[in-house]
Amino acid sequence: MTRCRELEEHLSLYVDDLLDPAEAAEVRTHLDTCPACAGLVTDLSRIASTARLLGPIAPPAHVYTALTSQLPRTNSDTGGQGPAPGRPHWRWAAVAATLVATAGLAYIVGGRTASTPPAAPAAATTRALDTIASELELAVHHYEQAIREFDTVATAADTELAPDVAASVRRSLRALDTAIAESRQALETDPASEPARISLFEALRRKIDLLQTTALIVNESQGSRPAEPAGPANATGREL
Amino acid sequence: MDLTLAARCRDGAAGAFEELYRLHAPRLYGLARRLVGPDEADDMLQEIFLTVHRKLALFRGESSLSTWLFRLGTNVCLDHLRSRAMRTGRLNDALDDEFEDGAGAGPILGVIARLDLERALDALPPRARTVFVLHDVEGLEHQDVASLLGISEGTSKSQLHKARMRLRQQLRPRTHDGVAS
Repeated sequence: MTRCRELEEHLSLYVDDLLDPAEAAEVRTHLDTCPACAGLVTDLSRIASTARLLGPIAPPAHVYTALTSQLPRTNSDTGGQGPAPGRPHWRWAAVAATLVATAGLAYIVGGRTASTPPAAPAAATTRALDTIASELELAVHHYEQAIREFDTVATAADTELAPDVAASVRRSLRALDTAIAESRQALETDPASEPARISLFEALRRKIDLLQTTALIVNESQGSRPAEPAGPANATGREL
Repeated sequence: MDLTLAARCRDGAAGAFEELYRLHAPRLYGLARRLVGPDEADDMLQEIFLTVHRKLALFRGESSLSTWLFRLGTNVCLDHLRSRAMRTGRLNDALDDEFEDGAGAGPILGVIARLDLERALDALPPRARTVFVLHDVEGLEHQDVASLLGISEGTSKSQLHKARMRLRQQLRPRTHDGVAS
């Protein structure tokens, strides 16, 4: 009993393998002859091993909502600095949203044109082609409208992109414009050409993706510009 | 990636701070919940991330972002516990109990359900709970626990053992009429 009390405080250290070899051997010798202490070691070990299984806990959703309401007002992220005055920051976000919506429409229309049955009755085929043609023109119209808006903003904010990035974007756009022109020419020659329709939508889709990515890059680069003097205070404080 | 995310947060990139929160909040919430208790865990997590927002400029990548956030979160929780102890007058809440010898031979605990251990943790005094959470749950060495709490390594080891002994009593299976067996 006395020996048990003497060694008890060593038992957690034994479980954690923090005893030197001589002390550990002394404890092992005692455990071999004391079922109570051996049982205690088993229990302490179970507690420690179960504790290691206690992992992260998902916080309630309202915590983040309450947190963001306390952060300094910024752009949509609420965690950073707002746009500098005078920059058309919101227009890039609007363009990006328009491009996404247009891309969605094009996917739907493009999917339907790709699934046109090849051997339908003549009258039904004519009606289907008319419908497809009008929907295709509608989708292309939306694409080109969004692209025109982007071009307007890009012209006004040409300095937003690094020169090498801007050059790369321009090269890609030229290649896509060539593909679009060739696909449209093929459709004028043969309006029923499915490969031409697929090619046109693919080129438009890739142009939308490129413009969307570019708009997002410009959004981020505008957000990283130094704030005007009226912006939020810089973080200071003691080092951890 | 840590430096990139931290930089994006500092620069106010869209979605960056939310991404930081989604990645790290669960671990920090678990830490806060176990250190300060369920009633104050929500407020504690908010305070942690408000502090993160203020101090993120200090992160230089010398440790991982996860480690940096963990240390910050721990300090916020410990400051809160000290403040609470000052308000309640409970400045010394170390466990001093002398425990009975284990009744009979052999272990008295079977497989321990994690939920049962969480509940038993809530019943520990703050100091003992803190040592147990930092060492057994979060995996810190006694040297680091002692440094964080401003105690000696020996005290950290002693408090950990007493916390485990108290938990053993709490987790002891009850008889049919609720008496500990």
